[in-house]
Amino acid sequence: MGFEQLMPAIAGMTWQDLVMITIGLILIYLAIAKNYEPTLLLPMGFGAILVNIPLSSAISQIDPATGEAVEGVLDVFFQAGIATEIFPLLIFIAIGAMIDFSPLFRNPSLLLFGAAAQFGIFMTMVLASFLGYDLREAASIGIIGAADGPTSIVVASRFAPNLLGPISVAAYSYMALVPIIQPPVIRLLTSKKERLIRMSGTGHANKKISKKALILFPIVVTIVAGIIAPSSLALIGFLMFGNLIRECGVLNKLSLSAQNELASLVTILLGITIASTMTSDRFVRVDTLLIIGLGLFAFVFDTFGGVIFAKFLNLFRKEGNKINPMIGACGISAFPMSARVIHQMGQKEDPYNYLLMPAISANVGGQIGSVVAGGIILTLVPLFA
Amino acid sequence: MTPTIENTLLIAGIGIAGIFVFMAIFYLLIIGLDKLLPFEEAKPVEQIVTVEEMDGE
Repeated sequence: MGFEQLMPAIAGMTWQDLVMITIGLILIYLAIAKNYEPTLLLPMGFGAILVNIPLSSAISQIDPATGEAVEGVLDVFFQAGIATEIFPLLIFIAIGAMIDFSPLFRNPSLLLFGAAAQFGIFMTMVLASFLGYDLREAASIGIIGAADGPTSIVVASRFAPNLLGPISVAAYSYMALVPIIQPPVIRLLTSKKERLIRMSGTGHANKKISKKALILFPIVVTIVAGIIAPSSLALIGFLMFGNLIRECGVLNKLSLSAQNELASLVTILLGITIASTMTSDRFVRVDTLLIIGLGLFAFVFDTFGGVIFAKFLNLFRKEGNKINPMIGACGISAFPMSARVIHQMGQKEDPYNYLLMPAISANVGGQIGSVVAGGIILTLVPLFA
Repeated sequence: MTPTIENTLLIAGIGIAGIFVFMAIFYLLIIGLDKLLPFEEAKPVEQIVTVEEMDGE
C-alpha cells in the first residue's frame, strides 16, 4: 500500500489548498486578535480550512474508493440556505429588530445621505464592467459598496454565485475596516473649517417620537416599496418585519429572540456556509484580488458620494445651519461603526463638537439605503442582462 | 463602448436616481407620520384612577 492510499489528504494537497488554509488562518486571526467582524470572519476562516483539506467530507466529493458522489454537509447548507436566500433574509429580520428608526424621525433630512453614500456601488459596477465582467457579475461586485453583508450575499447568490466567496470576504472585511478606510478619504475631501462645523441647529436631539408613528413606519415603507419595486420586497419586507416585531410592543420576547438567538444562529450557519464557496479552485485566482480591490474602491466612493453630497447641500444652506460634510460619510450601512468614526473625527478637531446624534441618523438612513440599493439592482439588472 | 458598459452606465444612472426617489418618499413618509401622529404624553395613572372614581360616584 503506497503513501497516496495511506495519507490521501496529504498526497492530494496542492499549493492552492495551502494558500486557502493560510487565508482561513488569517481570517481567524483577524477575527480573534483584531476583533474584525468576528461573528462572520471566524466561521468563514474556519470553513475555508474545512473545505480545502483534500477529500474533505464537508463538501461534495467523488469518493475515491467507490467512485460515487458523496454530498457534503456544507453544500447541503448552501443549497438550503443561500441558494434559496433564506439565511440572509433571516438575518434581515434580526437586523430589523435591532434598528431603532427614531433618530431618523429626529433628523429626517439626513435620510438622504443614505442615498448619496450608495454612490460607490454604481461607480464600482461601471468600473467592473470596464474590466470585462458581465452585467450580473459587475452588479454583484458593485454591491460590496452597500457595506451590508446580507444584501451583498443576496445579490451575489442570485447573479454570480461563482463569486460569492470573494464578494462576502471583501464585504465583511471592509465593513470591519471602516475606521481605517473612511478618515483619510474624508480628510482629503474636506477642509479643517468644514470639519469644525457644529450641527446643533439640525434636528431635535431630545424630541420624543410617537409609538404609533414608529409602528406604522415599517408597514407603510413595505407597502410603498412593494408598489414601486416588488422585486425589492424580500429585502425591505424582511427588514421592516423585524422592525415591526421590535416596535409593536406586544412581541418583546420575539424581538429579543430575533436580535439575539436568531441573529447568532443564522450568522454561524451563514459564515460557515459561505466558506463552502471558498475552495482553492474558485478562490485562488486573479479575479479574487481584483474583486477585493474593487470592494475597496466601492467603499472609498461611497464615502466620496456622501461627503460631496453634504458639501453640495451646504451651497444652499445659510451660515449657522450648514451640515458638517463628514456626516455624509455616515450614509453607508456599517452601523454604528461609521457614526462612531465620524463622531471621533469631529471630537479630534474640536472636543466640544458632538456629532454623534446626526451621525447616527445618517447611519440609520444608510441601513435603509443599502437595502433599497440592493432591491433596485435586483429589479434593474434582469431587465438589461 | 460595449453594450455591457452601456447597460451598466444606464443602470447606474437609473439606480442612483432611484435611490434618491425612494429616500425622498421615505422622507415625506416620516414627515407625514410625525405630523399626523405627534408624540403625546401618557396621562398619569393617578389621574385616571381619580376620573374612574368620580364616575363611580
